[in-house]
Amino acid sequence: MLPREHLEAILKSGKTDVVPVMPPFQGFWALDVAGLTTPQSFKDVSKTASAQLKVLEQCTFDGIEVLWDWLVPVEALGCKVDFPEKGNPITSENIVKSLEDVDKLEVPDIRKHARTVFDYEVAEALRDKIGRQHFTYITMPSPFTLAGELRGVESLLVDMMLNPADVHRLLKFTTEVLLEYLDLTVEKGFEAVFWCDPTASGDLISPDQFKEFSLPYLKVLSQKTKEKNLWVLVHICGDLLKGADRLKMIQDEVKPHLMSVDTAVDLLQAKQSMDATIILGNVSTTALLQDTPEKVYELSIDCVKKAGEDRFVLGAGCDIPVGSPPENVSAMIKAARA
Amino acid sequence: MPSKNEILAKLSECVIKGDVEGCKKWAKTALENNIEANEAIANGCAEGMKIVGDKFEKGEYYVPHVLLSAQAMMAAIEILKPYVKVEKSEVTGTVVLGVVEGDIHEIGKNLVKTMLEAAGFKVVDLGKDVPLTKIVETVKEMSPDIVGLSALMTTTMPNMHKCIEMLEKEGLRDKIKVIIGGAPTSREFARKIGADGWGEDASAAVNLVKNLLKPK
Ligand code: B12
Ligand SMILES: [Zn+2]
Repeated sequence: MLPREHLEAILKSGKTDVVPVMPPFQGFWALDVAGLTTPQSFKDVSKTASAQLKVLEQCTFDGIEVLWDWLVPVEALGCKVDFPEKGNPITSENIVKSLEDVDKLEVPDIRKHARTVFDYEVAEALRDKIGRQHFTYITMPSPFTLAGELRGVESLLVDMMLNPADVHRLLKFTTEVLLEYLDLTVEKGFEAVFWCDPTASGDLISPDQFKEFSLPYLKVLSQKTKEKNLWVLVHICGDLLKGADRLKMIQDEVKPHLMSVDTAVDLLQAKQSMDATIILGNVSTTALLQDTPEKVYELSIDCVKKAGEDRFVLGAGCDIPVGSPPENVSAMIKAARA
Repeated sequence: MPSKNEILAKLSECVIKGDVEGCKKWAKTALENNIEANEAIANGCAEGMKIVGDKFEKGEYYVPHVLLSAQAMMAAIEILKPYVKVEKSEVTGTVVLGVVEGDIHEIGKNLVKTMLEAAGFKVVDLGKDVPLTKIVETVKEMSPDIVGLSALMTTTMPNMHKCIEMLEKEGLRDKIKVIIGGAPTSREFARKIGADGWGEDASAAVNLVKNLLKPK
């Protein structure tokens, strides 16, 4: 069986005879391992694609993200962005300076936005190269997280308490923008989208706020993604079981095919809360960065044991941190194959 | 007329509720009733923020609430600040404060700043996500007594170490004291990277600075 067939099998039936492994987010880490800085990675499609491939030869994941520049919509919308040497571009200017600005926002023509075009070219190059053997996906922010980038996370969180109606208008807008990205993704023939909502982290917003501001919009995207026959993968950071069972809410409302959970989440409980969803997780990202391959191996085995065989994909709890030794990342893969 | 304790309790309550307007009103009332600005900040505002912190720890409050309370507190402090009396007998000095490169968590640092200022120290606030070179340059230019570094992520903690190394390289390390703080840091970590002190919270930061600046 090809690596991608394991993932297809598990997505379709919840079962396969080996534990599949997905990073789930390796892009910026891999660029750094290959010696390509973030600014350099936006210059030459084939160099950037090759950088990923080089690292993947060593770390043989069953599926990978082929578009990792997930905050690209921020720039397409006109925010100023900083490009650090390593890691993902950082929003340096929020365009929604006051809530009145929400009404002035316009959905951009993303097909004319250079970085978007570039990112999709890289993604296609990678997919064309390895897509037959490997499962590939496009990583994108959720409407809530994108709203946080446009408004500034702190302001958005305060707005949620003081001006909820304006926040909903902003969220409707970011949903529209992301539907454009979904269209482009469909048009280019990709098979899956990983919708990521780090700002809806269990450590940041309350269960009620989660229900009101994050879930409904994620649900729209999930439904539309499914209508187009793409797989829906979702990642949210932090502890989603603290205070309330947010995982169950996600299964009931968003109904993703696969849910990627952070290290703070108990895997066994996650599988119980989402009893009809594939769970991906949740090797400690701190361990990947700071510990030894032996320790990462041990932690990965613990995850596999805890999660059991069905409905489970092994991976890190969040982004593979830039600077993690490739030996540590390989140890995670080795554990899945053990 | 409300009593002093009532006014301080109201101020604290408005911080807890995140009531910006209420905070402004009770800060003014405090001044009108001849309550010392220092006391209003320490026993009203900071007291309220401490309770907010406790509620956050217990999972009763989430970050949006903490942010709103911080805003309310800052609104009161804004009004009280011009009236803050700097105690002459106390030690004084300049503290350069910043959240290290790559890290944008600044609520804790801002609290430390406020409490230091209320205690009479001059604070040069470099803000968040501060390039390490900028910290070094500021030390060169201003020769402060103390540099306070904050980090809230395991991934940015190493930048504190780097910053100390850079200060050493520039021959500036012996001229100043370096203190650090932020949730993932510890006394142990501070010792390991060669810092002069670690503060668990904002009031610990004030005591730390006082002790380090005490004439020997
Ligand atoms: C609020 C918050 C945010 C806010 C920050 C708003 C702001 N302007 O500061 C927002 C929403 C923007 C945010 C964003 C992110 N966050 Co955040 N955030 C938090 C949270 C919930 C609380 C931090 C806080 O303000 N605490 C309250 C203050 C009062 O406490 P404090 O900072 O510790 O400060 C006190 C003491 O430590 C001390 N102190 C502090 N500094 C100093 C300095 C000196 C010199 C001294 C003596 C003392 C001292 O005194 C202070 C007052 O008592 C923590 C979770 C947590 N439980 O800590 C996560 C947390 C820090 N965030 C985290 C993450 C991952 C992020 C993001 C990367 C999320 C994402 N994936 O997009 C982003 C971007 C981060 C970046 N590049 O910096 C992680 C970090 C994980 C790690 N690697 O270690 C945490 C731990 C959450 C988690 N478990 O996942 N976050
Ligand atoms: Zn995450």
